[in-house]
Amino acid sequence: MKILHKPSETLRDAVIELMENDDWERVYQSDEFEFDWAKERKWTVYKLTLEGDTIIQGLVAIEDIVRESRIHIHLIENALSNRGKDKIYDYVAGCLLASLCEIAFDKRYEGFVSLHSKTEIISLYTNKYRFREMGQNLFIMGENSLLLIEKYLR
Amino acid sequence: MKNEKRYQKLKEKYTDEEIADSFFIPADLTEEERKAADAEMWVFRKKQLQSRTLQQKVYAGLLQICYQMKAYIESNLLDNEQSVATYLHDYLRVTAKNQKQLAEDLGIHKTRLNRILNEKERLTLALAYRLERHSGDLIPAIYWWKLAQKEIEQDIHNNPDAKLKEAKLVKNIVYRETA
Repeated sequence: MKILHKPSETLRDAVIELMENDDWERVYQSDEFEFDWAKERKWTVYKLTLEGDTIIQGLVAIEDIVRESRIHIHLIENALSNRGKDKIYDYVAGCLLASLCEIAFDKRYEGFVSLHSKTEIISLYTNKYRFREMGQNLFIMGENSLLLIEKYLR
Repeated sequence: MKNEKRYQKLKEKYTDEEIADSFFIPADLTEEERKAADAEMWVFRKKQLQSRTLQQKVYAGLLQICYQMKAYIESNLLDNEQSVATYLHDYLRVTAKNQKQLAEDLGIHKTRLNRILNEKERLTLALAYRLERHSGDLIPAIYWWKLAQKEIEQDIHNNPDAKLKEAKLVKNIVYRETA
């Protein structure tokens, strides 16, 4: 997968991998993340880095709900330097989300990914990522998951 | 800190669009609200899973094979368990076809498919193209081909006897390192 280096408008190779002990230490000592990721450690947490690099560009915490054949997102956060109008890398959250769709196909969940979203920004997720709304739940599956994979991982 | 408080803090620096672009922030649900949301999702998902048609099951199965192949191809691993034959067995299971039916669909003799399934014959590029079409273009030919190449790589690493056997058939060596 590739993320966009905004200052040069060039694509850079990136990878998503499971967090390891050293990564957790780096996150705890870093000012790059707003949320308390120690609380997310009970879930499965993946990091996005540039290929061959240790700097974490974004994180995602998920739960594999096997009985319901779905991946549930608990939190996604871009590193501080990848937010707002002066961000260094773009597509970080998109790549993280698309990777979850890929995992959800890999597990034969038909690409089903869900989250409980904050009400104020639900419409932004539905527009940007084609999530569908169901009460407090947002979900994406099937063709829409494939489109995200196509957009961010090809 | 509650997520709402963090969200308000973020709003001081970013627009909602910028927040949605960089975060997936969960709602602050009470235990009761969370249970209700989960229950609603479970009812919806159960209904979806129970009402899946055969076609939808095949679709889900093919995409599962596709992304498992992709993950293996992109990894540096060489794994005996992830061979063309293993994935073809999965393919038969997912498509609910027997060997004879699949061989007919692909326009090859059933003994040839059987030889590939028993790792006695390698998958050809032509067959990779046919498998791509057979899957409704869901599993690209390049994945089958790369899988076959990984098998060859594994053979090179694990089969020194074959290398020696072939070396004995060479009649002339054009370069020898001199002491």
